[in-house]
Amino acid sequence: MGERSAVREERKRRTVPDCSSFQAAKEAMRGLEKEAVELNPYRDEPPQMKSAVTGKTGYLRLDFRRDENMGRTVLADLDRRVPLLAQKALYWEESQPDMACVITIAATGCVVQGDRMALDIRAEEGAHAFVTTQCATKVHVMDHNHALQLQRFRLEKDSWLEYVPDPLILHRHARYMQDTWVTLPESACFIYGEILMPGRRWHHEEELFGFDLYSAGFHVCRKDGEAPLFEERLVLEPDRENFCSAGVMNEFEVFGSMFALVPEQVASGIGSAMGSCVGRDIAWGTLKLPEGAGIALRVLGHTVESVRRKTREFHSLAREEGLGKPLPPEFLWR
Amino acid sequence: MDVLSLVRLMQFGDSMLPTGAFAFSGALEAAVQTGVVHDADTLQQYVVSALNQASTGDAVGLAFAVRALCRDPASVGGQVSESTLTRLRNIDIALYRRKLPEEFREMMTKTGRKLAELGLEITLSPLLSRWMSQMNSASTPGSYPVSLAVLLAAASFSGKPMRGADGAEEEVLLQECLTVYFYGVAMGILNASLRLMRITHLDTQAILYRSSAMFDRLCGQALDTPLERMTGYAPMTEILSAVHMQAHVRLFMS
Repeated sequence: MGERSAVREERKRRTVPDCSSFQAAKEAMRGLEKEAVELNPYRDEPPQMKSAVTGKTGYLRLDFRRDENMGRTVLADLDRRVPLLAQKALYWEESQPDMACVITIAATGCVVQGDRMALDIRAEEGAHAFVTTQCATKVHVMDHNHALQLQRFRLEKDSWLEYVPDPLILHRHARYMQDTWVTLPESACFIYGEILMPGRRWHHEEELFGFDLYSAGFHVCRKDGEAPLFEERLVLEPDRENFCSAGVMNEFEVFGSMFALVPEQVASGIGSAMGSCVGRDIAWGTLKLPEGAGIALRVLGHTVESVRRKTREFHSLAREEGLGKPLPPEFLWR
Repeated sequence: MDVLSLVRLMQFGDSMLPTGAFAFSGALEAAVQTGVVHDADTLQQYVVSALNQASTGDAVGLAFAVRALCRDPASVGGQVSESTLTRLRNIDIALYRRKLPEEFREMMTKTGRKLAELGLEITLSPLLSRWMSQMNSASTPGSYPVSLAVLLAAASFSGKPMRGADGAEEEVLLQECLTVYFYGVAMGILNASLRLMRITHLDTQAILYRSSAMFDRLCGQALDTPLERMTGYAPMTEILSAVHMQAHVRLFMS
């Protein structure tokens, strides 16, 4: 391979998708889709509404800013396209009264074939924000095409951002791809958590691990355009690999993952308090990320509840080590 | 395949090659301690999952490194170019940054460095010497897959420089490198298992025999995956590596 093509390839790899406007996000999603070889078997157009048309291309941009007059973080700017919506910022975290908490909503209630969603969340200097979803994200049964979500998080100096959505449930034959790009300076902290439920447990005999494809990329950079601190891509195709096997999921069904991109000292505090264990009902462990990027938690369990308890424990530890106070008790209705 | 390349493969593919791989178990130690791996059947599952992970991850980097080397002047007896070294560094860093468990990063760089040192000592190849200097200047982590690509390419170029324009020699070298790599992954775990659990040499050989039947498919997978689409999904192995990191008593370094 010649020097030029090597450089070209490197440049292509380092391009961070731009989601700062609806048009830019649509373009970025098209590029992402084109590169994804794992989507090749699932590119046929649905006979119903075509993929990526108006109403099937959701966009949500949230800008959080620290408002010194109000003494708290505000949701300063918002842009959205159906089916994505966001509620106004609330301040429900008793231990962090200045933290803006926002619930995002998918108005269609679920992700269906041909959906393309883009999320762009920005925390400006000193802003503290928590973003979650209203309920679990259900990726419906598909027989044509696929669904895609692009997530972009940009953090400025001394900001603290948390994105912890409810579990993602992959129904039978779901094809879902997600790509997450995070840019943050060393002084900023980002918490990102996800729980993957491989189907509705009691719904159908072929439901559990009945999805066709789940592909999730996670890329973290210090500055846009720089080489990533670390990257990962999980590609799950139950038809091609047995997930029950000893080294993969060892008979567990629910997978939880949480990243705490925090300074090294905070990360080691979380790691030693969290520990690691492989038990009959749950297994978890923490991974020290490359280049001092922070710490990751991996959890395997039999139920969403047990995995969620663990990710919440990790989340709470991150809050305690990073902001001085743990998470308040969970709402009774959550 | 000629005799010389076959014997080189046997030498560098031998699990007794002193790269320090015997000190790493790929989290099998924790797997045995926690009961995740407890008999020949679960051991085979563990080996297969490690091979699958390798085929869409490290082996992809290895294949790209071999391709870069085959297009370099070094493949016809010249000096290795700066652009190829840059390419190797980029592949090396990409592999390193995709290894989230710390012990696995340590394993890939320690064995990678040892393999390059050993290779340089015995082949005296200028290509390996340039790769070593990249590692010594701390401009690249020096992962095992890339070091293996450089060593096997250096051994192959010195025996018979690449000539064919049809890429047939490159294809053969790619297959050879990937096979040596997959063999190393399987044997690393199987050798460790003999020291960690109640299993016989016959069992481990049977597991190797069965899993090596997958190598052809795994090679295809590694050759078809683009570098930027390298993937991996083995949460239990990652958790086991975390358990191992925090264990008080350890026989292995991973």
